[in-house]
Amino acid sequence: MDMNRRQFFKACTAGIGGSSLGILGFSSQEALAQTRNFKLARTTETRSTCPYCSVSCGVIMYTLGDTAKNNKPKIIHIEGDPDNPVNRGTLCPKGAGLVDMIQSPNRLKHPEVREPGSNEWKRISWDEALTRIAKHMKADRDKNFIAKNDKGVTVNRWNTTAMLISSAASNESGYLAVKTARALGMVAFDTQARI
Amino acid sequence: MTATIRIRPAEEIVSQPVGEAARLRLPPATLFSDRAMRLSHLAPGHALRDYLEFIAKIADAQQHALNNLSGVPLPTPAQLEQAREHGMPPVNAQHFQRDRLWCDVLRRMLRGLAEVTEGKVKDTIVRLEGERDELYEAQASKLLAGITFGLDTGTAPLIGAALQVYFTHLARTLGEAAIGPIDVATVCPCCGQPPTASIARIGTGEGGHRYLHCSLCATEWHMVRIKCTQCEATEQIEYHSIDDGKAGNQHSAKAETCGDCGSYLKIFHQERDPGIDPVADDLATLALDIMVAEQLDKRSGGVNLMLIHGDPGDS
Repeated sequence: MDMNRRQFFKACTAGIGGSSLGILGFSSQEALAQTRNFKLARTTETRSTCPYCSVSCGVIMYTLGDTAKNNKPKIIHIEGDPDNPVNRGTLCPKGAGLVDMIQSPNRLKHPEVREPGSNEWKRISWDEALTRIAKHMKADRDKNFIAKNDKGVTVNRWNTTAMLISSAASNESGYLAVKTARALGMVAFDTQARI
Repeated sequence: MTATIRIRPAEEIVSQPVGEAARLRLPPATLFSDRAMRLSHLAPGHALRDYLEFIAKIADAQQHALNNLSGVPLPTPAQLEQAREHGMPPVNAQHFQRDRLWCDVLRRMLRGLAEVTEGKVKDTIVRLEGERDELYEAQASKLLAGITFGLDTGTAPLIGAALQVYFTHLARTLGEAAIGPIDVATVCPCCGQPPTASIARIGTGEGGHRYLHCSLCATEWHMVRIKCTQCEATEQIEYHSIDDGKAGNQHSAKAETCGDCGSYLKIFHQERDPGIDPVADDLATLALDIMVAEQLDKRSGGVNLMLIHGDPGDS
């Protein structure tokens, strides 16, 4: 053992007798008993951005539970991030309810489709969802794309489909979304961040 | 936990000026009496009741000493300028030439404490009071350098208490203007010493900002949350609290552990308990230290001069 160490000994059962309180004659038995009777609870804190609007408030999400088997971590609390310069720890009433949105039994967690004539929502895979959307888009664009206007000027418009993108998207995914939509000729295009 | 969400209309959030947390919080004039009060509040029914009450007596003696301290030589303007220029603390405790005044502070505190203690504690106090300044200085140097070889852990809280008074006085007298930003974010910008714990403060403004509480001069400096206070990594931070089946998940004390460097520091949430004093509450949550150290094999990055731990190899 390095006897000239530059760090104090760590707190532990074996060292308590030689600690300040042990040397001064104070009892530590009861405190040590506590350490055997209780267990530790683990939480993590994760920074994120509120998905609701363009203010993009910083939030801290508190998750309870460890990574052990049979233990599903659960988000137990969300509050404003005091270190975020935008909202400085505050949230609007909608953002303050974020945890309920995450825990909501009605929350949409996977793609669903309601077929024509049906009144039921059916779960489908992401692959199927994207394929169906692409097919619909292509069919609609083939049918309604306007290459030239009445005066013969090239306009390349696709007026019959609109797109709304996520407010939680980064600048980079926003840039790509614009490139994709505009390349198809899409005119009606917005982001949830403006809602 | 919902009580900790601060709600404002979105329009107000947008229109508020972009702000930053105050960089420093200097120790208040009532630092030690607040601590004594907190310790007295925590002591009844506590597993370490006697020890908390003893530290409360020390804190009372510290407040008395701080109130009566004056004429302490300060660093010269040239020294302050040099520290600022090089991003160093103005009174780097490890190298700063302490005025012998602090030894008088210690002796007066010991005389007062001898009157309100008994038994082994009193014997230790009386013995220490009879020692020479040279021993005080030698022990103080070890304490401030974190050297355990030859350090008397029994008298360390007493010597540490006088050093706290001396350096807290320096921090308060120097003031915020003299304590510039330093290059290392993990030690006190005033005296270069490690923190005791960190505390997410409440305030009249935004609140929730995390400050590290200096183990020596009680200056508090800001550090963003969810970040290791030792190595500044952010990837593998976890929070551990004692699950006693009572407080739910509302614990005001948690150990912030870092998987990168294997250290931890306690973080206290003042929003959940406004009376928190980092030094007092650190002592009162010793069980958390022992559990985190033994079950998770983490090492504390904090120092509490009121309780120096012993060598586990000795027993």
